[in-house]
Amino acid sequence: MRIALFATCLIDTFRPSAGFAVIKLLEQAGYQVDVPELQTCCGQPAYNNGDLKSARKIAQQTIETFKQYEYVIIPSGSCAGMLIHHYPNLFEDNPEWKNKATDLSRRCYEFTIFLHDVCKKISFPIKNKISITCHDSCSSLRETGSKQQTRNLINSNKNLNLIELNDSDTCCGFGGTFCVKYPEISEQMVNDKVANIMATGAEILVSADLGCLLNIAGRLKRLKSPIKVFHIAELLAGETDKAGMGNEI
Amino acid sequence: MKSKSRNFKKNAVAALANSTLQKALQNAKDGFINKRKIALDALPEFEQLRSNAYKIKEHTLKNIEAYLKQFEQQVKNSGGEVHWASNTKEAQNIIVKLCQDAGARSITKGKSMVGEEVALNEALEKAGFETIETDLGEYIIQLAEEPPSHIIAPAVHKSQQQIADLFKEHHKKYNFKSKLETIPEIVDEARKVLRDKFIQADVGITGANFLIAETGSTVIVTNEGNGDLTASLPKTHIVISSIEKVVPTLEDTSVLLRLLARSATGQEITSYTTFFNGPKRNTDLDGPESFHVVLLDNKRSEMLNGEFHDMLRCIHCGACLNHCPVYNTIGGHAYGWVYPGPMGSVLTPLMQGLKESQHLPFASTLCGRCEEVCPMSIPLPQLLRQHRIQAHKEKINSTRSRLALKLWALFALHPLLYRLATNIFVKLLSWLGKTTGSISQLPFSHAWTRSRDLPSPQGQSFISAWKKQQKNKRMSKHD
Amino acid sequence: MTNSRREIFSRLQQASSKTEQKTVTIKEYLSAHKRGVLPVYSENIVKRFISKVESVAATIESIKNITDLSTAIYKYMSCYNIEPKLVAAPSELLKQVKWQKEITVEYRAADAKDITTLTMAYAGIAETGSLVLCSGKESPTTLNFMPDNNICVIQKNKIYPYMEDTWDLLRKAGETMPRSINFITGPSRTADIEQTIQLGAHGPRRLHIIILESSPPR
Ligand code: SF4
Repeated sequence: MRIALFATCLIDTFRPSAGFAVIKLLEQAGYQVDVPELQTCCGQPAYNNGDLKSARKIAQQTIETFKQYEYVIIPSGSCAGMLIHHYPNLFEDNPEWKNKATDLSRRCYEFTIFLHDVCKKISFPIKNKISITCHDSCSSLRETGSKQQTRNLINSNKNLNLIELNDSDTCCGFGGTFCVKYPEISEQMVNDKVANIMATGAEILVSADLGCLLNIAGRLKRLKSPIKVFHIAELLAGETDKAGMGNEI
Repeated sequence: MKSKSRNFKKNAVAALANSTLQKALQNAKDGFINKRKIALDALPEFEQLRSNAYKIKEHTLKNIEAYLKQFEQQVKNSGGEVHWASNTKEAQNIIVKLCQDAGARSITKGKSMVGEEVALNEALEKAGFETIETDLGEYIIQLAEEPPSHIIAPAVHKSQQQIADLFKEHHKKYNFKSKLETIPEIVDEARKVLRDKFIQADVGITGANFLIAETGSTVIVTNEGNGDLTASLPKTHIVISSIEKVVPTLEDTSVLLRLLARSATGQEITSYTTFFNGPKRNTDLDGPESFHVVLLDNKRSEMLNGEFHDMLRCIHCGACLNHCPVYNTIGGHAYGWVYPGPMGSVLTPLMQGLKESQHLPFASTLCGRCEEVCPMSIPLPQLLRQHRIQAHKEKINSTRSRLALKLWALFALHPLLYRLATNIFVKLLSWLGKTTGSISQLPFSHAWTRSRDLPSPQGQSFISAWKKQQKNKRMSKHD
Repeated sequence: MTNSRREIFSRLQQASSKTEQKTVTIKEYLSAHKRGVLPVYSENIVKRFISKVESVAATIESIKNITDLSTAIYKYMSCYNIEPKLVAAPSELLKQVKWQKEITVEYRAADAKDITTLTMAYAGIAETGSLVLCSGKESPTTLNFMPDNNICVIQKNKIYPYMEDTWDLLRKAGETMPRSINFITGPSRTADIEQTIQLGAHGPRRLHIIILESSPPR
């Protein structure tokens, strides 16, 4: 079976280890994973800034790039939301591409959902007891709906002690270009988020969305917090002994 | 009120620095969110009601012409009169004229967001009427000469101390001089001061949460009882509302009422829900002698068949404000006009112009919580995006951000170029952050680095690293 | 101003002619009076009414016969130290009450100085613990909102499960709508100061409900 990873531009740029962790877990589940080289970004920046023309072109490129795969795995809630929900909407007036977009959207899976719903039995090589907390991205809460899957995956491993966040359904203030357009508001939002994270006393924060992770890790680092930050795939692949995001390698 | 949405950024920064406001926002947020949650947890039918409400409102909008005519006819039948205003100026003029015809000197007002929209108080005061807001929150901000900062809790940004100070300053003339130390004392003094106003008023103006076509009723939903005193004591009762508030039947209204109070304050129903049907009857012992309904359009008819149609379902419950992380961070005044938060960021550009309020649709992370809680299933994030599309089309947003977007799209659409650029970028950033694992300062990136480090990349991009790995695998196979 | 009416309707017409064909005529829709989703509950309606009333900070008691009303009200007033002066709705039933000599009663609409009023509910709604009052010659609206204390009598057999039952009742009565229909749920309150709930904003500080168990002779 041909299964592809849509790595997402942020993992590609900032966190390759998350991409490798995803592949490790998928291979462990018995899949052979392809990473099509022609992939770039899902087009959210254009879509969310009103540039529909560019968003459509990028969507068409992505649809072409992934057309021969049975599954496309996306290790980020917001990019998954883009491919699954927004791509078809982009082509309301273009039946041919609407079909293609819908067809792709049916083959796309957000990573934790795929791991949970499709891969079924899979065990995670986590050696020591770790206390963690988990940030649900807004897309994972409201677009892909992967909150429960994430919980089930984490709770399936006895070594993971999950401490839930207060205000867990509030946005971290990343919001793509929002965080640079309105940095003061974004700062206050991430501050609130980070305060809740620190209040859990957990050693590690995970999330399935790299945008949120960059934002939160960046703020934690600025505040000199010892909390380590990982993509959830890295946690499940047993790789939290490595450097967390923003930590020295 | 003149819109100050243009200054959104400045307003927001000021709001963030205002510690009294920040405390008030925190307090309000927790209260609203928890109360709504408790109310909804006790209502397993919420989703059913929500889709019921959606259907009712869509059916109404599809037949809005007929229902408005039916409403008008029924108001006439019960002895009242309906007046139509295309825009805010007309609404002002109609109401000023009605008050003049009634020979009014003093006017009491119940809370009305449409009243705020048309800047009714300013118009009435300019025409020489003494105009008193009687909802406690509205009264407070009237004394403070401020616009409301929330559509259901207009003075939510004020602290108890600030209110006590305002009363001290403004109630001297009524011989109230004592220092107000507690909330009951403040409420009591307002009750006493406003009681006289209710009795003296010649005209009472209320808003309406719903207009019922079947019966010609106008409905208000309140907790204080001020709306009913405003409507029942003066000789003339004027209702100001807008055309999209029409609902076909009493039964339909009951469905919407079940959603409204729960979404707004977490109550199952407010203390007072009142249906007004015209002036007093011959045998009635009290009530107004004349009854007028002024219905405002102000761009709503243009929304009916366009991209913002969904917004016409709004029942002004305020849940989207209460759950908006941006609203909760900066409060309502930063948005610069009468409707704040997600619903305001959709409405303000439509009513005040997109150019004037260009920040509002962009000042959202599109987190979707507003849509999630909206009892009328209004796709607020999608509507905000719609404004962004328009802003892009009209080239309203800044050239700098347009240029950046263009450049980025150019790369994203040329995968090989994209790879190259990514690799250079990753190398550069990895080098900058190689000792600490993160970067705390970066040219052109102050907006990010002012409050966060940038976690540095890991030496090479994922795709390059993966390609190398694959190549090595192949080579070791060949060996 | 009639110009604006024409303009608004022509804009609406333009917009709606583009939308799909109307399936149900509005006449049919309006006369169907179709009820929407009703929250289900299993309690007995009187019990539910009582518990809902109590949950919104009103007080409630039951009396057997209308002849018990005077004693009940006098007791209530003494208990809260309320001056035994009542302004009552001039309803057939309330006018028949033989008041004990300690209480003075006037039957009229309310004015600014009235401390305590007595009203007669048109119906009660168990779903929310609401009283329904309809304005009319026997029921002036000001009595509901002007005083510090409002005492309201509701006949037990007029407690209904849902708000919608009121609509059926009004239609069955066949008369035109009263000027004002008030759904009253608890005393007046405000949360406009720091989200703190304070009773008695502009309307009654206290609401006392008396359920009359027997239906009075017609
Ligand atoms: S948009 Fe929805 S949530 Fe916001 S005020 Fe309107 S009805 Fe309420």
